[in-house]
Amino acid sequence: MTEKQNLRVLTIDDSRTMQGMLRKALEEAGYDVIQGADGVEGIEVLESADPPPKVIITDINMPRMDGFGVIETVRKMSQFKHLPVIVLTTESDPEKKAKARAAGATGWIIKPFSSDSLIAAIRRVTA
Amino acid sequence: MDDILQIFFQECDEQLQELERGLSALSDGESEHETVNAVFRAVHSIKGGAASFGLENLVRFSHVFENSLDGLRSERFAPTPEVVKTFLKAMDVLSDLVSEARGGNTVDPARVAESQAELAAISDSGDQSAASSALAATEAAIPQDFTPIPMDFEPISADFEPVPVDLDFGELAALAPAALIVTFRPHDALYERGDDARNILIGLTDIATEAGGQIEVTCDRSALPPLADLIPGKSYLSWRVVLPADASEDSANAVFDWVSDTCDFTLTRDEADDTTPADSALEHPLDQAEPETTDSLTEMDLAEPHLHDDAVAPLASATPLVPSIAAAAQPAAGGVHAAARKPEQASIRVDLHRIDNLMDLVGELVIAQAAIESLSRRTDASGQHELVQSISSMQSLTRDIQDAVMAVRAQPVRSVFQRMQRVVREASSMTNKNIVLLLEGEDTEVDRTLVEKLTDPLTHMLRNAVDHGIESEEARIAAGKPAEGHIVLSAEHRSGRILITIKDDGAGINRQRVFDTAVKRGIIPPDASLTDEEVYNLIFMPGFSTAATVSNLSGRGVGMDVVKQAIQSLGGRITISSVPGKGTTFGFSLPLTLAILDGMLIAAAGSTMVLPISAVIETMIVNQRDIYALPDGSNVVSIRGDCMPLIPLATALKLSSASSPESFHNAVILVVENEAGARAALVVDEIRDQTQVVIKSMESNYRPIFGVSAATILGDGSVSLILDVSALVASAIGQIDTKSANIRAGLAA
Repeated sequence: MTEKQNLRVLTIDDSRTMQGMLRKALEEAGYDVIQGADGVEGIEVLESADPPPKVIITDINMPRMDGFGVIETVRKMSQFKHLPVIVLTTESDPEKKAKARAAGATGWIIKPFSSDSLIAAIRRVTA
Repeated sequence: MDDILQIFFQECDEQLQELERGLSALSDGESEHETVNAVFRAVHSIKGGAASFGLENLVRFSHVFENSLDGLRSERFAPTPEVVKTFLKAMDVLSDLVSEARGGNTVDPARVAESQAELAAISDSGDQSAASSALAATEAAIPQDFTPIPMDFEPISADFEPVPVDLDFGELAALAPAALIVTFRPHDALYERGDDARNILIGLTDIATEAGGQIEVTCDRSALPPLADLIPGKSYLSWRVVLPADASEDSANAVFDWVSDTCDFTLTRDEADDTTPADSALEHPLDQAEPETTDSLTEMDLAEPHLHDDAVAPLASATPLVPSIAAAAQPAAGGVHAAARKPEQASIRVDLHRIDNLMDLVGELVIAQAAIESLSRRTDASGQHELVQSISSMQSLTRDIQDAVMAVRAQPVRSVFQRMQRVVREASSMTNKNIVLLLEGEDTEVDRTLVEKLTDPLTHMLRNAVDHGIESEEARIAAGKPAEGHIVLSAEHRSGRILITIKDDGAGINRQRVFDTAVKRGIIPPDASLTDEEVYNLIFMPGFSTAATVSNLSGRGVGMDVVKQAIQSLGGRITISSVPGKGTTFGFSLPLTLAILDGMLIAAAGSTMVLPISAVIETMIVNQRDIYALPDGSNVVSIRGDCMPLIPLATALKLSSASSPESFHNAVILVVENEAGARAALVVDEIRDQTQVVIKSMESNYRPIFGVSAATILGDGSVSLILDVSALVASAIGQIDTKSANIRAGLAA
């Protein structure tokens, strides 16, 4: 597990429950977690993070700026346009996934997620 | 995990409040898109969290609720009053399910099912096609589509070792009979979405490792243009990967799960491939890769859909790339929408404990500062003038700090008020009455400890208003009133206190019935002569209940006295006014804070005591000719033509025996007023100072004492009593309050 030590992950979710679970699962797996409470804050955290995160995990339904907005914003930032962004969604509905994909999402995780699936998803894009 | 569960429940409360706020707005005719979104988000959020904790009842119900709200969000139906009513009911069920999950009472499954069916019916009415309504009905019954779908990739083994990936010259080992052959060619979009072919190769490597083998990789570079023509970020390469026979197709498919629309790929377990000479692959790796990755791939996709999971098959290779690129490059609807929303105030979450601690410290600061002040007065130090000045500026700073901390602790009463909607809703449905609760001044801010403690008394008062205040529909119509009853719950700041009123348009309090009951219960003698207000106050006496039939709602004979105690323990008073046939108004007047008070230091019978400044109207020296003795031994004083009882403080508190009217000559009197507006003149020995004091409860540290509301520590370190003006005034005007206070004191002792 040492190779991903300190690898930084940005999680964006307005639910403190979800943020708590993400932080716990990720930190237990040795990741360095930074968080934003909605899209707008997530982008702010991304811009000011040093070192920058290697992957973003974002919720879709959020106030101020939703997950689609996050992805679109990230894809327009020259330094982050290739940053993997994984969306968290309770919807297994293909429409939602397609929309996230169209916005530029790298992948998705269906809530509720297991620790293993979360880590696997991150490894999938940061290996 | 427990701590996260606690966060979840806390968040549920917030989401339920958000839901209530949104639904109330909708029922008031608002149809703002953002309101509907917020309502949807609240339920969605509860569902998401509940699913994480495996709270199945909660998940199932919130799923149906969410589906229904989604119909509203996508405007399949309008928020008609009936729809909103169903949502409100569902919200109550949801709220109860949250309590259930928290370890509270189990929710009656029939109630859940009923609400669920109503929600499904709404969804149904919005869906035109029979197919979708059938679907909604199925979902309502068993929301199976919400079964958590585990990410179907295999956990990557932890002891993974990087396998050398020789892009060009993968050494072809002897192939197993049924080697799994994967070919893939990423589109530009794969890279544009933050993915990389490398990720896929590593994913496949992991699968091979798990199967106990290695991968053989061949890279097709035929499409790679000369360096000068190369466009960065464009996809030119494709790969052919041979996995060991034991490698699972499902796992291999899972590697492509996220890229089914941004990558052409095939999976074949082709024994024929076995016959492909290794040499040929080595000699013509590009030729070999070419047909596999291009022409034949599409055919294979179509011919062998069983290799892909169902979701992937229709998307594979069919989705055009260009639109997704365009979408990524342009601000799509979601982004614009998000940017247009109004910014919210930045806020941070602070542990309540810390704020309470800060408040305590400010309290100590106030005491310490008073100590310095009193010290400075006793010392004749040189430079005393500067000292006094410094102290005075420190004093104003202390006050600013105190105000700032209070502002931090202040919360609008909205959260409690909104909860009352449900109370009234439930109570009216139990009593078969049609009652509307109107809220006013929900944004009025009070100390958060007060907000919390208001819930129970308000719940009780509103149930009472529904049960006893508002008449039955028939009675209302007979009285020429609208069939629908109204209760107004309002809050406002009034001279340093918060005033909460509960006003109903019912029949008013039946004076005679209250009186008779009080006599029957032995609370008052049959010949007592009481004012209207005194009679009304009887309903707050312990053991009093006028309910002719004991309903299971509020008429259990406990309650109103409990309300009174609760309000009094918060330093509040209750006022009642009632007009027969028109309705009753209850008023709670409460201090804004329970911690610090502006007090006037006075002396009586040699002790220093504190009087809340808010209660003092004026101070003066009394002239003996304005004092009139009454036959019962008490005195009244006439101040500018107004007569009011004269209360010698020392006597009232039983610190000295009764004094003669003559002794009042040139005495200092304070005109004080209680919440009901009744005035009295307190006779004191002297006025000593004006200061802020920190309130220390007597009831929690000792026991309730008549005429004393709390105690405090003064600057010189001595303990001083804070006087309960209302009790003193009330006792001077009538005997009722003294009596109830004594009963209370007796019970507590």
